[in-house]
Amino acid sequence: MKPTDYSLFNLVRRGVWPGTAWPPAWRSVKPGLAYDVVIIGGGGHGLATAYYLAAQYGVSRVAVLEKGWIGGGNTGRNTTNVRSDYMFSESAALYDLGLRLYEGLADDINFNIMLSQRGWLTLIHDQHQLESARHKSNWLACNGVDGEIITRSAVKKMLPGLCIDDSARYPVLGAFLQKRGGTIRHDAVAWGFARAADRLGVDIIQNCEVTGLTMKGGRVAEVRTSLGSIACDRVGVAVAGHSSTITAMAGFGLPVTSYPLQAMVSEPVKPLLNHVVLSPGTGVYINQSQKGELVMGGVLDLYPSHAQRGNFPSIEKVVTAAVEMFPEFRQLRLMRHWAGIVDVVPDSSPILGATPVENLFINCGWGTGGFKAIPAGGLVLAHSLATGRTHPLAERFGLDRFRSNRLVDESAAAGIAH
Amino acid sequence: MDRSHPLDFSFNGVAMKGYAGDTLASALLANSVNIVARSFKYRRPRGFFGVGAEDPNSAVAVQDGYSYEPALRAGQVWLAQGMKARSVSGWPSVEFDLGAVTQLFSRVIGAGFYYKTFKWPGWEFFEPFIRKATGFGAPLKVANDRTVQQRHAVCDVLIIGAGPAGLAAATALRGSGLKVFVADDQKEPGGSCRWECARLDGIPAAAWSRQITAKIAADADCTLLAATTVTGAYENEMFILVQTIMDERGVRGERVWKLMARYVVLASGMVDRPLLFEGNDRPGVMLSSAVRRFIGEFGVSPARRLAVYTNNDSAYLTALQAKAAGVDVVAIVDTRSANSAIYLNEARAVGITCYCESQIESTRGYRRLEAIGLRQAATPNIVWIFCDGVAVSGGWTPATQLAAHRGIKPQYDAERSMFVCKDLPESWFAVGGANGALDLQVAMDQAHAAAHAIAEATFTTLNGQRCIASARGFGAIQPFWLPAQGNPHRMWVDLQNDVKVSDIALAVQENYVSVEHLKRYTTLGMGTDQGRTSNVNGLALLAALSGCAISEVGATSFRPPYTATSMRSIAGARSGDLYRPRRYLPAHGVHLAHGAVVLDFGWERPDWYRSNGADRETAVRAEMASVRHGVGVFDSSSLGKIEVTGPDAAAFLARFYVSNMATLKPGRVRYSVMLREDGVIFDDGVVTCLAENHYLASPTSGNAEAVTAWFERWRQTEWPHSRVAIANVTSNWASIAIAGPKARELLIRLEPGFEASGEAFAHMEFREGPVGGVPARVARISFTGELQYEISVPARYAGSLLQSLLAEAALAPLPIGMEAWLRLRLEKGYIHLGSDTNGRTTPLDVGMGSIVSKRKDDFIGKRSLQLSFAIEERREQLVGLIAKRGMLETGGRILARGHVRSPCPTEGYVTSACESPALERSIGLALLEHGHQRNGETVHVLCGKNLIECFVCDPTFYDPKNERLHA
Amino acid sequence: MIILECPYCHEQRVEDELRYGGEANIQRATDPTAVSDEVWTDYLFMRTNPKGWRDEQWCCEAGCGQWFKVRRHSVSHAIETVARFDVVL
Repeated sequence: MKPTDYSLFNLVRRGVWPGTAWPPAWRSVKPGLAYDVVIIGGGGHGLATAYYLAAQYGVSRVAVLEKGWIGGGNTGRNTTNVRSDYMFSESAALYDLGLRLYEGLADDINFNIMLSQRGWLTLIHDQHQLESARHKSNWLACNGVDGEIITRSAVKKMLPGLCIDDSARYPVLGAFLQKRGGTIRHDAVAWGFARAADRLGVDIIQNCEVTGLTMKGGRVAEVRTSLGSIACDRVGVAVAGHSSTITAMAGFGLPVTSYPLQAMVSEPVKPLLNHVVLSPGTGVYINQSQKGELVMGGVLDLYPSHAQRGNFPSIEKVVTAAVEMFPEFRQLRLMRHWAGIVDVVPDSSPILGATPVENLFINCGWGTGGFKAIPAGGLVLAHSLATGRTHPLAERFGLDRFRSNRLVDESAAAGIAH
Repeated sequence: MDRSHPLDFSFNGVAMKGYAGDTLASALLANSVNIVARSFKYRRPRGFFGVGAEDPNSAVAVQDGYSYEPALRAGQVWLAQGMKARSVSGWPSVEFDLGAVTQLFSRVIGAGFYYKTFKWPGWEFFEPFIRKATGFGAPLKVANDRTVQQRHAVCDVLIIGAGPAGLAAATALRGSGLKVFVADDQKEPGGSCRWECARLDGIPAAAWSRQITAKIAADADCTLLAATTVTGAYENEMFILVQTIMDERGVRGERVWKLMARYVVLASGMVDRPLLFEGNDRPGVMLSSAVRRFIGEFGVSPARRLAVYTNNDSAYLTALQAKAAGVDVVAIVDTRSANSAIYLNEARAVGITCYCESQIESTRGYRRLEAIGLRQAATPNIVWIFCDGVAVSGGWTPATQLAAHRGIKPQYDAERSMFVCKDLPESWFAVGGANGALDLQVAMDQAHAAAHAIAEATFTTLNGQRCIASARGFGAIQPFWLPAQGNPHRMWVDLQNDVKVSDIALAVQENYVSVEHLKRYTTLGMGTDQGRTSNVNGLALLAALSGCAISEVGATSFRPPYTATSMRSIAGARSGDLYRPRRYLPAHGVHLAHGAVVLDFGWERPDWYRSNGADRETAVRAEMASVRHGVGVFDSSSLGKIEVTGPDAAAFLARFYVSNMATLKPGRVRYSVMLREDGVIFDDGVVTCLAENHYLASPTSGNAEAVTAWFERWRQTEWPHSRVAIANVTSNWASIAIAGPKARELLIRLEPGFEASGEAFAHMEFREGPVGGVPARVARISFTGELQYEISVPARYAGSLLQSLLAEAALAPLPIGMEAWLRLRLEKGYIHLGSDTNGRTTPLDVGMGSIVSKRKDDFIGKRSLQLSFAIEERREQLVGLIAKRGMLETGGRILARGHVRSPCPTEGYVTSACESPALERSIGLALLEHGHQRNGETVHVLCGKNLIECFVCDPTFYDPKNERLHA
Repeated sequence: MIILECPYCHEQRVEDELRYGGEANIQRATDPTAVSDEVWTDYLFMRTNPKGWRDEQWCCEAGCGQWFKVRRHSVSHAIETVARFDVVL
């Protein structure tokens, strides 16, 4: 164990013997003139890409360019839920890789990301949803991913505050439970990957906005930024809601539309919700953070936007649904609400890998589900950037699928929200 | 304050007395309550630090005569008779908290320590303990609810805050004809007029504010909302206001206003900012402005022996006011030199000892401040002064949160050492404290100027005079951020979350130097007080420690709401059936009378009838048997009905359906599907040609609105010259289907006004004429595979038609519920949209390929069927399945060829399944890869724990030659 | 909260009364069979999604039911133009 490693021992040592200061979690550096790989976007996906490039592919002449502060986009704005109960085998493989990497991540990157596998419950309100849930559990069993249907009384036990009596507007017949689903401290994912990548030599450059791409012979030769031009061999783009803006600089479009997703927290209260719960009837999902705040999210705003502002009509919908599900929440108070900008594609599946520009690779289109896939998204983009080829798990998620209409539309097959 | 009106209340079970007009905070102070809460991390004793929303400490649970609130700040609760309050932190009690033991480890558990440890044996091991320790209060399982109301309003000017500046703006706008809203979060308007020593227009400020308030309240153009907090500012100048409705028993209810304003006057005031020193978190240390208000408004002194610590002149006013109120003011400690302090002589003249160029270096006391240790410049010794309270003022923070909601970043003003909003939108005016005014006359002039600017912009005239103020200003400030002496581990920046100077230093050292990183890493300002007293000090420390100017580090963004807003008020009355209204069939009552078990299928529809059997399965089987062997009556009123008329109606409909509706003759009915533009089935149903140029499309129940909108949108946007009118008449008509071999006999008994014989009225035909004496549209179509008529009558006749059909006892018709109906169609192999199709199913997959290939002209979605996705080999296609043994379940997953154990690849799933009485086998429909070529094959279906072996077959299980429906 | 004045019925509508309908000026081929897969899938899926001014389709859903066009800024949500559907933005 190095003295800079995070551990209880080092924590105590530094507490007891002052003067042995912790080093910076990552360095502040000025951009170099050239890199093997430039990653645009210092959110979870971009930082994970940098980490896996350095750790698994041995590419460490890497720069991550972040317009603002790392983790300041959707990584630091989402409701921190993770799960991998996807049905299409290709989706299941990708998202379950994400969850499995998360399960080992605290050790991998020596940073406690507070993975709390408290169980993800998708409520079942009617016969049709029960049949869909049966389909899902059978399919997941075939995919080798955990997930089960639990009864109404089991739901009552797990969620004592949930209104499931006959007066409920949306009756509860049971729930689909993925025990491995849960929450993760979102900032820790960004910071942990940043620190781990930095320790492997990656340059993380904040407050560096990409202003243009210099193209030469169908390739990106230079990334132009507010801090000067940076030459590079390959470029990775992981900027979620701003993907279209970056690819427009490279001369191609995306089937992406940016929508705000509202999120909000109540004032912190004592533990009263021990799992993550999603109601398809109301479209709202809720968990309780370690600090005691109820973290709530729901449907997208009705129209596209790049404004990260809270929108009251959406807040009303989510809060109204939350108190409808949990009547005792009527006594609680809403403390903060905000929005993230998510990149929505027609089939709500990510776009990964190659693009019309030879040395530019992309990771976008996660919509509202990007956080849970950060390690997987990072790994497959790192694979493309290191090898120039698409990762086998990402093959069905190429941009080319929109030419053949071979979409991977999980919600179309299931009617389940992300 | 109304001393003639005493109130009883209790705190932590101890009976106490207060007065009308008290807040819970002032009443507790008057009852000498010292420790009201414990801090979040180290469980240190916490007293009152602020007086209202800015107080980081005083979270209490409150039960008044109406309802229970798990965690409110005591300064925001108005005392009511019989109120019961208790602390929500501290175990076993707030006075004695075992959790305080964490202080022993404070060096180890600094900012973000949890990111560095708890990895072994696993976070899940520690998490429950940590969660148990966090949070303030908990809701009651059973609690009385408050009344909640919602209002909408529009005004010309919204004035936020009815302090002197807000009232001045309001009074200037009076008589202009502009519609003005004034909102103030206090029970009584007036703001600082109620507690500061000032005169306005020659009379005491308190009297002035009462006078103005009365005038405003009487003005028809003005709406004065007291006890109303503007909680959020949104685009298009939409504001959310939360009004508290109170009486002597407590808070009776809340009213949420959605208010649109053309102009906004932000007069929300400002709060004092604390100074940092060692032990600055002890109960007894309080904001100087809070001390002035406690004394001036509530007549309660927060300390017997009060010291004042400041870097500006406003705190001298606190000392003078306290002295005048009889408090023993033991010292004024000023970090500045004597010649900067404008009220120095005045303070000395009344006998207050003043220490200039001095700093508090340390404090004593644990449960209550006992003494401060101060050091004068260039002296080696610490002077200890015994006192039980310190009023601190390190400058001011204008309340600009609402501007921040609109995306306006406050900027640092070095001269006044505060963040103010400089780039407000044209329609916004910040006045008074909210604009950093340190002098009352300046504040009044700003308000006056704002009113005039609004008048000018709206072409109105103002007649009022500028208000003349006489008050002592807050003077000048010399910023003082980080004391040179003192232990940073014992200097608190955020009192609620226990963020200390050392935590900020650690964050800076670890390079969490972006403002947002600092906030998130240390939890600075993330508490329920939203950092009102801690943010700016945090920013200044960040600047000092990272060696840049405060203006360079940027400001944190404030997010709505301004103060926490009760979730019940946001939800309003929208709960239960008002959360999402239910849709009822017109004959709902008749169904209930027949014992219908009604479920929500989008509409409230009978699932089965108790009159047909004691349990669901028995009843469903009886219902199915009656359709197969006699006649059943089914309410299909929810099915969509869209009339399409006009010379181009036929051509118009042809563009939507896979089948060519242009060739449909009057009196004929045709089934088809319509696609989205990407080739996927969007809806299915029949189209009836009622007459030339007059069609009736029947989409599925769930899609009636969507299909209407879909038709309408294409008509307007793509084919605007089509001569077509579209009307959704779904709820105008009720439809009752009668199905079974005796259906014709039943129809004839109702004496239809048309020839109903099998020859005269064939399958897929339509007739119009009276049935049972009421006008009716009758289609002979079938969903069940039996002879079937669908009788549509004006909705008001639904109940009587249903009753007369069921009254034909000789034919023994049974009412049929959804479950039986769906099983009947499953036997027949008809698809149920949304069950047997999914978001990827094309008409080619459900056996309509030949219809598609026959169409020569274009229809919506046709082009996409030529894309490779639609013709690829591995399409999931609709097939029938017959179980060899065991029971198929909807949702069963079909294993890939050669696999009999999961996990394994799969090739499709069971979309509908049931026990077929006709086949006496378990049957199902399925979407199966290359299904159309796999007739006769055996497949394995995973249904939960069971693996069911099935034959693949044609989906039509029952009467494949259609003899029965043509009967 | 978006507020638009319908260019047909001239009523002001808030966002809950309106329906957003995607990017404006998406051209459907007059003869879809005559265009390439690329042109057709561009029509189906590709959208410009600019961070800035966007041309959009909106419907006065809770009012007169008419579709119209709007030029709106995706960051500030400022409205530059609201026009009847036949107007070319």
